[in-house]
Amino acid sequence: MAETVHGGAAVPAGLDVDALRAAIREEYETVALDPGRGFHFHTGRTLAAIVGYEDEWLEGIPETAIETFAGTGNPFSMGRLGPGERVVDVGSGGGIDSLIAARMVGSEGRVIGVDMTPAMLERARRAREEGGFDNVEFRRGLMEDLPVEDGWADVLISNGVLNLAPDKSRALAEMTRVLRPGGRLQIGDILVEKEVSESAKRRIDLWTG
Amino acid sequence: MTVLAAGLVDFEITWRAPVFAGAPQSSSAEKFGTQGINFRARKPASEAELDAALAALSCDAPPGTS
Repeated sequence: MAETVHGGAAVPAGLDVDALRAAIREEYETVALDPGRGFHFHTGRTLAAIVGYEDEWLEGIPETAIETFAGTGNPFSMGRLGPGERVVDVGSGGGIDSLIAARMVGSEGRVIGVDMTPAMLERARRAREEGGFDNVEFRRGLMEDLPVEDGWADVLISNGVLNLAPDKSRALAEMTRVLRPGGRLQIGDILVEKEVSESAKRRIDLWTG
Repeated sequence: MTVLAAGLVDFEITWRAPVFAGAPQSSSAEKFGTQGINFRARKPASEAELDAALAALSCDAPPGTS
């Protein structure tokens, strides 16, 4: 059986990258504005239970962040984050993972969440204020061009986002750039068990649905 | 290979599950056998460590087989 983690590396030939990003932004803007609408993926606390988030991680995290959770895995299952660590959350969405990370790293640690969807950034910033987190910030940016300095992070987390990168090689290279030597990558994503044709890779409706 | 080419080592998929099953709307996940996964990797502590990981991928033919 052919298996491809997040669909291969290079930008598929003929893929309209700008149109793809616009479609992804529209999809997640809908999640940000109307999280209970019902999507082709689970969201919120239902999803958190499916992917194994521990109840204690969600204590004190505002519903503003939890209800927009739309990841595909559990970055924290591969190792707790330590006090004082610096974390980058790529595709931070409504902020749930950034805020969980902020709690784990404590007041001496720092978290930077990066997302390209303004409505999600607005929600994440609101959740940060509601929860009283002062060790996390949210920045607008693309995963292929992270607004974070070289070697800043001890840990990079991401959840359900890398599969949406049109250029996965570049996104992974950016993630590597912002990690310090010896830094860890802990990611939730997707794996496709069946071969995806070149024509299917150009279909934006399949990327987002 | 994509992960190693990006300069990462110790890639490991630690978990997989059909996370799209039962979602409110239908999707292409079933058609393509899409599952949620967790994976981890690490940025090498030195250039030498990355070089060693790349060297381990060497496909040199054993003597007498070329």
